[in-house]
Amino acid sequence: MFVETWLLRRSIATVPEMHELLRGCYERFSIDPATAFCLDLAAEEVFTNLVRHNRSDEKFVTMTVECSPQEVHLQWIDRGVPRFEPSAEQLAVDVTRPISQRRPGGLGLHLTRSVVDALTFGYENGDMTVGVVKRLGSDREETVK
Amino acid sequence: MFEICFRGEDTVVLSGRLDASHEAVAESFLAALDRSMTVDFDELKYIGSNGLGLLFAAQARLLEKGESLKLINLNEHLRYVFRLGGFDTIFQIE
Repeated sequence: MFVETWLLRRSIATVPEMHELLRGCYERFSIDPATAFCLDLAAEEVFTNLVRHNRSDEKFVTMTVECSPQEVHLQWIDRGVPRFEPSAEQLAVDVTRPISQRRPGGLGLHLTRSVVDALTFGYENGDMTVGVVKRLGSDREETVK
Repeated sequence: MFEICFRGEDTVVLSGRLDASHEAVAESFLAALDRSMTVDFDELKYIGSNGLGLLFAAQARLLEKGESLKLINLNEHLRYVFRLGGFDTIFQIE
């Protein structure tokens, strides 16, 4: 089991740095490129949503990565923020609709839920926690099709 | 690192990684497109949901004018994400 925690500056400009930190984990655990792509996508969506939608005086968001042979678990803790959890409506996106009928927004969360095995939201004492779990090897067949 | 530029008159080339930190650059470029273009993804290693949203917005705007974007040379990861987002029914992808 590998566990590491970083403080990420609360800024969209931090996304490349976050991806670089994750890449170090991928290399250390020989995470395949398909899984790495999915984790990068999910991480970007979660982090940018925290930065854009959570009002906080805190300058940093905490990110923790746990890697085991079976799965990768990413977790972000955003402290001193109002409670927020996406509604069922926000999470429901019909990607089969023609372009003229698709409403803006929601695509990022839809993609995140599609490429990971679990997406969780928690809130306690002013701290919001968002978690992502990706089982290793779970989408290799998808990308090879 | 991310770059977006023209190759010739009819092709837009994306290269590097289009993440949220490069959204402004991509947005201003794509928003200025006013006719059908081929978008070459051969050198693009990654795109996040924000980048996908920009492509979606550009396509929606161009389709209203009878124009469209054709996407070429997507790697397997990009194809997977485009399919998850239903973009394979919105764009011509080769």
